[in-house]
Amino acid sequence: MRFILRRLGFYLIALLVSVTLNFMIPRLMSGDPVQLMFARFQGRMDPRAIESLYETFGFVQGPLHEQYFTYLSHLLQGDLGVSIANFPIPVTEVIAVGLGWTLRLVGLATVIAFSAGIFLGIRAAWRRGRFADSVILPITGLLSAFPYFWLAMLVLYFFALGLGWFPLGHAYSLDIHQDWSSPEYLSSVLHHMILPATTIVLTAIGGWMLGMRNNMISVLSEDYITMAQAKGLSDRRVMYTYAARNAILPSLTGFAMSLGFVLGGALLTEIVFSYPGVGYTLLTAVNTRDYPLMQGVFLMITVAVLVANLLADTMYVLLDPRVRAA
Amino acid sequence: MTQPMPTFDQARTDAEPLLSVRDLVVEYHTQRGLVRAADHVSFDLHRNEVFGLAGESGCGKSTVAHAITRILKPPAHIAGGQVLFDEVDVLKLNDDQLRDIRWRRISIVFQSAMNALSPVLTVGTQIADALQAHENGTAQMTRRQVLDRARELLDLVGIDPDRVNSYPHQLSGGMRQRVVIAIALALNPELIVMDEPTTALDVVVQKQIMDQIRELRNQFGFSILFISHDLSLMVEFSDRVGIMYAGELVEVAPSQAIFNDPQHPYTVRLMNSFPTLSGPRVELFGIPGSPPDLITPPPGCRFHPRCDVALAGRCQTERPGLQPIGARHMAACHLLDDKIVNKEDAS
Repeated sequence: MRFILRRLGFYLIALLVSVTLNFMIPRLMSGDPVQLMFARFQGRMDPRAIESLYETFGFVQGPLHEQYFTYLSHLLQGDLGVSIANFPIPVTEVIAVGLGWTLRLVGLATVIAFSAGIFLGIRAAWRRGRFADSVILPITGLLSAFPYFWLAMLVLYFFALGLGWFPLGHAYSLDIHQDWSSPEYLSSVLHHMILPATTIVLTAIGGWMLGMRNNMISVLSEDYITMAQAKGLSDRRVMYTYAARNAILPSLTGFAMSLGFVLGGALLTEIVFSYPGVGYTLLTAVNTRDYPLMQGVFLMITVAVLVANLLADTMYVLLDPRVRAA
Repeated sequence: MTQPMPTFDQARTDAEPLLSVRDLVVEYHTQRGLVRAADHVSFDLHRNEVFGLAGESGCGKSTVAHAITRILKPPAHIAGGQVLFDEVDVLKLNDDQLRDIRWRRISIVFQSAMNALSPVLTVGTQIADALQAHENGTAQMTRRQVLDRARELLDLVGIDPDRVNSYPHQLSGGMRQRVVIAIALALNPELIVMDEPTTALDVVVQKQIMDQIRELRNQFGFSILFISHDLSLMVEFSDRVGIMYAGELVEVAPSQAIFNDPQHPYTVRLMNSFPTLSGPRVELFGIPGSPPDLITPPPGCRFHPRCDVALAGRCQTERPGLQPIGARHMAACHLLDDKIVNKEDAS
């Protein structure tokens, strides 16, 4: 418990630092960033947006520390300002929509890739040189070495454009009413998810599998594995409770960290498949120079990575008793 | 070497031996070639007996122990021989039959207790595992009974039963070794193979643990196959001792005979190279040279290049076999030919 509290303290400090950086960066630009931005839009920006921009950045009249605290208090209230491109929709709302799609697509794909990779890695190490080890492992390794966008476009070209089995993009058919309780809508969402999710799983699985296999192999040579076998335990028990339980620890840290990056969206996936997730939102924000939105997305990614790290630490404590004493 | 080894223990035991190893051959496939780590090793172990296997590092004693319990890992493999446990050949058992006798009838205490316990499971879980894996063999046990038994076992080896919820890293080396012994006792096995059970521990803890093992053996009456390179410990602890050199058994005798009246030149030199725990100070001698490369072992007697009494000719060309040279005493040396007795005389 003390360990987790100490980690928590560390992450709070890291959060404060990143928030402060977020606050400082617009102020490091020479001149008034809001005026600069406004000028760049050359009259295409709603004048009312200027007010909200000033507020977003905490540009209130007064000394720097006052501005800083205004900015912090806005953050604490969950106020990230208003999106310029989508004026007057608040940044939080724009992100929330994208986040929903990203979590469903990238989150699900990451969990599937991790579970499948770990499982295959266990099998490959347990039966070295057999099917999982000598056939599946090289294939997944090859897939993860593909340039992602190329694989994604290839898949899109053949299965969506060529064969027409799957839609070309977006998260659901636009002619279906958006209603989560309607089975028609759900199946449309799933149908749109299959291609992008498959490409993510295919490219990610190799890394998890190889990592787990290698950890497993070194754990399998430990005396406690031999002893577990000599105890007459079933292969399943030895493989999962004794070997995998020890071998999975490093992979779990990687997994928790990758969950943090999930929230950042899979940029390439969302671009190739025009999937309206966080990555796509970020791309749009950059294209339209929507600074509040960009800042909001960056802040969210920072927080997500920090939370994921904390999650990794907590998980480690739960799974590895040796860390608890530290 | 292929004819059955004569038995000399009829005086001592009327029954069949509990464990009978016959012409066991274990080979390692290495990049440089085939290594015969155990070459036609044969010995018997009786009920209630402590049989010790001693020898320098790399002589094959652990290989033999691992072959008997079938926990050898590639590139090692058993190339021949029999391991009769209660008249059943362990080497011929299928996986299910093997799983059934493992721990319930033969358990193992590993060389390094530091690594014999999984770091992420509590001591209790690792004891319970052994009990529950064999539920079918013993009585059905409830979770509560399993836990009670685990506490009881810890108490037996002198550890506070409340330690059942501890993780291995929370225990000292000596305590971990005791836990490993407790796990080995869990199902009241008939044979416990102890592979250097105290090598990683300091001498004081070693003594405590050996005393504990002796006490437990008196209480439960299991047999022990004891592997050690520590001859003084071995002679003190075992009923009979087998000395191994370069993959072969070169002498088998009651430990008193090994201690007082070693016959094989290697055993003699080995005894001279060890200090005794008690007794007068004597000058110690090493054995010149080093054990042979087992990929290309020397022809004839494998010890002849290091042997100062080797005969030119015969010792260099003809391999000696284990021969009876006295009551319950066997050795493999051409120089002892005149002492060979036949079976009838010995019994």
